[in-house]
Amino acid sequence: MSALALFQWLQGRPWAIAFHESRYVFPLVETIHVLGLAGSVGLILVTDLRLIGVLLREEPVAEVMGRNRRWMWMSFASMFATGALLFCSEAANCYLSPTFRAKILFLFLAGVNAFAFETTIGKRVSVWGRAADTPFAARFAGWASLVCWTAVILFGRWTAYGLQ
Amino acid sequence: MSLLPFFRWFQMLRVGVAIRASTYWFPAIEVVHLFGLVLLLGPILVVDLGLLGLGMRRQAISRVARAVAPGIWSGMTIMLATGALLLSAEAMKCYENPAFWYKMYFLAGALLFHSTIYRWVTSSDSPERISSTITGLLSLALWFGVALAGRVIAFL
Repeated sequence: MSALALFQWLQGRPWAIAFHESRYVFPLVETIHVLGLAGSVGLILVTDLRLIGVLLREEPVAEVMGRNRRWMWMSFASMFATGALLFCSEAANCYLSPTFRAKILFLFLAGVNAFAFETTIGKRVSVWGRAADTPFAARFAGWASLVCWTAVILFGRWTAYGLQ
Repeated sequence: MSLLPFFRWFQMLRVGVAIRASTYWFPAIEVVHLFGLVLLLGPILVVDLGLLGLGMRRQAISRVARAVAPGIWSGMTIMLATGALLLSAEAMKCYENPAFWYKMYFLAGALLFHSTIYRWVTSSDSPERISSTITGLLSLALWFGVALAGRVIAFL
């Protein structure tokens, strides 16, 4: 079974069709998706701006995400869950959309970048995180995250226009 | 006094006509508007979570608020500028859309709150627990109200 056939099957499920055509549930889920985006990417952005030395230069890097991390994950989870639901209702259309593929690619790259940061230089944040100027690897991770999330938002919005 | 003449005039401005004439300008501006939202809401969240005692706790809130202020102002400038452009493209449509008016009420409330009580509380070195909690909650409610009503505009 090809991926396209699988996504066509998924998109054709009665619950997926009902969800896609519902007058209130679909807009509600889309709204939660955007609010989840604002919360999670907003908090990620603040960390990125600290890493590249734009905001909060006097606060330790570890403190900037610190206790905000769980709110970031909660927002991210609501964005991810609603995103999965939105995908199901237009699975084949999304699969065929070049902008959606670009969005998923950059989402994946954002994840790889965050994972690489957390498992290497991010582990030693207590050593370098107090200085206003961060090491090159940390600045690189901050810029990479900014670029990836910007691309995710750009291609995500573009996908929604394309599917209309 | 009705704002209808103003909206009619705004709709006919050259910039609005140009945006309507193009397929790409409106979506492009909307994407920048969305970037502005993220840039504005990120720092606001950091301050609000700090006010509520749920985020950064070791730092004085006045320090955090001062340190993220450039992010808030940049985000707000981007949002207001792109928002005005979007409005010029469909002023009459917005005039007739109830969600647009809710968004404007929330926005007026948020801007007023931000430049008064919010500023006083976040510039104090040790605000009282009760006043920082209420300020954090109100700020969250007002800004999320703006975002929520903004999203609903497209659905009505």
